[in-house]
Amino acid sequence: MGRMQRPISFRTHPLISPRGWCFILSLITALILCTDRIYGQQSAAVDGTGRIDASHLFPHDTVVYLQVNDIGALVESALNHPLREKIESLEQVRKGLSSPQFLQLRLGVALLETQLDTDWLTALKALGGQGLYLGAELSSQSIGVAIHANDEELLKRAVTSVLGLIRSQSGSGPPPFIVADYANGKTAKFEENLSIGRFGAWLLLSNKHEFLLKMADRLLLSNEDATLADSKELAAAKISLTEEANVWLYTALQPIRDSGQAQALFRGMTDEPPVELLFGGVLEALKYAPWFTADLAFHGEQIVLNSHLPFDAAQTSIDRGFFFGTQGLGRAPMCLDIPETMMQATIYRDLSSWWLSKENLFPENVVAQLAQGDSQLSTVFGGVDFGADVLGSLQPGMRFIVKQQEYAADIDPETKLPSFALIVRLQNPEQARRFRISFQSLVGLLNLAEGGMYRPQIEVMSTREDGIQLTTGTYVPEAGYDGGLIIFNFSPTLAFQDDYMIISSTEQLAREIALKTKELDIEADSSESNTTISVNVPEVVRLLRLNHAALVANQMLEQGVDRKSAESQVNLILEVLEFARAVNLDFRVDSKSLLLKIELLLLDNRN
Amino acid sequence: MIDSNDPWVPWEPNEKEPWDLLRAAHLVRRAGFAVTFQELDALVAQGYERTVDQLFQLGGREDFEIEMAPIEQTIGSQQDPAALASWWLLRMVGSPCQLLEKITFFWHGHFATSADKVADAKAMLAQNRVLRANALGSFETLLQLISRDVAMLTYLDSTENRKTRPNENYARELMELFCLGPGNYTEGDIKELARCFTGWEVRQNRFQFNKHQHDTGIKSLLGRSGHFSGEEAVRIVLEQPAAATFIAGKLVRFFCTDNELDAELLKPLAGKLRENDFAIAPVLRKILTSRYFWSDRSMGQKVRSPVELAIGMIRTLGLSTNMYELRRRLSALGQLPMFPPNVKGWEGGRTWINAATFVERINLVVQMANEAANQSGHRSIARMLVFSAGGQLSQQIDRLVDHFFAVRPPEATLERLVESFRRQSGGTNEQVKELLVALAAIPEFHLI
Repeated sequence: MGRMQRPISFRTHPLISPRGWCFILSLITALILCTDRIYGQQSAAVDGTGRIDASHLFPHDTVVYLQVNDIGALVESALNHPLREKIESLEQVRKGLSSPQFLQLRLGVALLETQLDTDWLTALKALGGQGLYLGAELSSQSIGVAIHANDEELLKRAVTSVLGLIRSQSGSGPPPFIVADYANGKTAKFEENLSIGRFGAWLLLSNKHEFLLKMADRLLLSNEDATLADSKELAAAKISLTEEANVWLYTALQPIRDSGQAQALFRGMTDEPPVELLFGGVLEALKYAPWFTADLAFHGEQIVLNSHLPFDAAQTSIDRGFFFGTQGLGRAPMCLDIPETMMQATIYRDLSSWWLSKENLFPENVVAQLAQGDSQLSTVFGGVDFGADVLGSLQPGMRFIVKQQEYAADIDPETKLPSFALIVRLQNPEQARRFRISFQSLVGLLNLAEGGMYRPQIEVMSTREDGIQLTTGTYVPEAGYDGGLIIFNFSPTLAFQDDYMIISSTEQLAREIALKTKELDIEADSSESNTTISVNVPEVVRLLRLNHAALVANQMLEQGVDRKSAESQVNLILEVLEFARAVNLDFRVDSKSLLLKIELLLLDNRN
Repeated sequence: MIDSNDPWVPWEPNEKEPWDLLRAAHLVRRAGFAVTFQELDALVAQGYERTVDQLFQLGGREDFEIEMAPIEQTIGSQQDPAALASWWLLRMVGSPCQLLEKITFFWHGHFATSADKVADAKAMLAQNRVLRANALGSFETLLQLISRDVAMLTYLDSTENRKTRPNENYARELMELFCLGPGNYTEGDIKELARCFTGWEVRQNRFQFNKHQHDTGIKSLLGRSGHFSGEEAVRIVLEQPAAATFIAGKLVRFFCTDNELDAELLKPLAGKLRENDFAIAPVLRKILTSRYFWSDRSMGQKVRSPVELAIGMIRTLGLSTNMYELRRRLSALGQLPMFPPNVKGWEGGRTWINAATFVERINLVVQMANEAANQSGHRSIARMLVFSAGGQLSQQIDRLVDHFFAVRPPEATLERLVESFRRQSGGTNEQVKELLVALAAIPEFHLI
């Protein structure tokens, strides 16, 4: 923690000997140092990125530390965003802005502006210009917030005005807080878990008065107790802090693990096989990772969330190899360039290793259920071992694609679902036959079950053209059939092209993907990521608009409102969604970290 | 007081028994699912006869049906039976023809069919449409339609009925639960009736008559012999003297009292049914306008069912409630529309309340009161109450009692309530909310 050195000036006095000057100088120096210890620490440290760091205000065992740099600038950039005008023009937002509650808020703000003699945004920029810092201590269940203002005088007036307003609300009764002097500042203790204190240009808030006083002590005194700033974990975590980040969050995981809280998150195991499949690697890292960080950066049309979890390949269980691949080098395939895709995910998971490691990954009861499933699936696949032979015939990289579908002229399901497909590669194209036979068996079983209830049957057809083999099941429409039924969204299809196998909900999508895989360079079909997800928001909105009636119906039931209100709520959601262009998720594994990046792309202008 | 010779003679408001808030509230609770404070004031102002006429008026619901249609379409196309209950609850809240909705609910309990087993939302919706379309019309027509209803036949495992192996399920329930009651037929009648229904099948979710599987032989049914078809057999069952008494008894138990009924009491109603070829509206009007209905043999003689409790609160307080959440709560209380427990329907009466459900019922009222206090955009409940009852706390409590209670709770209880709330600062939503919850904890609150 740096100390502010104050300039000392003195002139030689004829009555004082040099020895005496030495004594006086020592005394002055001691006094200065002492004064400095008491009142001289109202500035903050600066971190490696040149930003203010207030971690020294919080105790060493702080588990959550958050810093928001320049709140005013953040709010100003949001207010100046081109989308603001459009969002404000939405009917629901306009109604909200003219609601009595909002007008009351405006009135309060106007009153404050008058007292501060400046507009609220300027005030906010001055008050939060040097950042907002939050720390939470688990042992005492305390949360503290420190706000560092640019303008100390304005902060003083703002605090006085707000307290005055609160006091005036209590009428002739006593105010709901007690003001006290503390060091060179003042504190106000409220009845309900809130204390505030102003010390120079710093505003401190906490849910526990004692915690607030300790924050003040750390701000004002240079005591010997270790603070969060002395934490090696925090220092290590700062490698993830970049200059672009507007908000940075640090969480110390070891104290949380030690406290026994959120055990499900840290035990490195889950009872849910799909959760293990998707997040098993993360659960593995959470068992021992000392910290976790996340930062948020706003760049006009792009909002990016980055998170960082330390990872040590050497500590990783061999059973999680299905997730990371050998030496953590498992990589998902590249995205396919299919037009008008609604969502595409690519993922590295070795399904066979996952299935065969089930005894080590899951508790006994889950293993028993999976073993039962294993036996049934082995039967469906003609008696071969499901884990070793069926899943073992698949390569680890997978793609999942969701796309809007077109319907035949005489079919118009009232609820229009998108088509979707899973794309995997076979270790050996010769294994295609086993899957094709199993697909036909499954359709046969389904026909038997549905046929028993005299429900529509599925007809299976196989075709081969241009190296693509398609096996498609189509619902057979009986005379007078109801084309509005949801089943007519489906024509389940299994397609093969080279070593690519496509399991699709519709023939149309299976064919399109199969053709696209022909353009791929099989040897170079790999990305840099473990998992990626891309959502094309306009396509999602298009689907939702196609299902507008169903969404309104659901909203009526969910909110218990009439059609007009439900329509208005659904339309608002759609209009807000239309401001987004895409959401992208990228999860990577390197030798030391698990890195997750989520990116929201906004439209800069909407026609 | 009622005339013990004929309790079904019409009641007229008089000096001792005026048409007031208490009686108007009784009528709308029984013949529907309650109304708001303002609507109740309006009903009192417009008079008794006009209010009864209005109840039986089935026109003017076209807009409401247009609102509901897309929900039915969505549930049907998605084949989502679980959403059916939410849909019907929303109908009960919003329907402008409350009597029609209430009696449709009665028929649903009478011809109990559960979506849980049928697992076909379209079939359940189709049955509901049949019940609603014929709810106040001819019982014979309704019975003929239900006898070939896909949901009913699926529910009773009667989608196949071959002449070599007649399926007795539907025949048994038709006589025991739908038309005659136990003791009015023999096992032999069930077998013969089942023969009449042979060839009645469900194929591709549709009813069809398979003439090759129909037993064309002579059947001896309820004392008559002939080559009866299914339709003719239904008519023969309805011609039994017990049929009209049985239906009248079910109506009286649903609309008037949970208590045991004397067969003599039902005779005039059974006569009315036969006289009108089993038309329901005339006999129901007779019941709802009778001295019996307005006497202490009916008022406060029914336990408020979970659906009546929930929908009544929602309608009274003008709430917008999550119907999926309500479905969950009603399921815990033991009455989920579209999901009756068995073919006998809900037993009702005192079975609605036990230690566990009583707590759940209070929790439901707490939830409704919270929603009423929190929902913006609606007039606050405190203002609604002040508007209806004036500023005095005792007047407001009286107003709530008139609205929610069929039987006035002991005065000492009400005085304690007034005293307890007088100490608090008044006129807030929070206070009215707590008042509602306090009222719901009084046992009489659960009687209607």
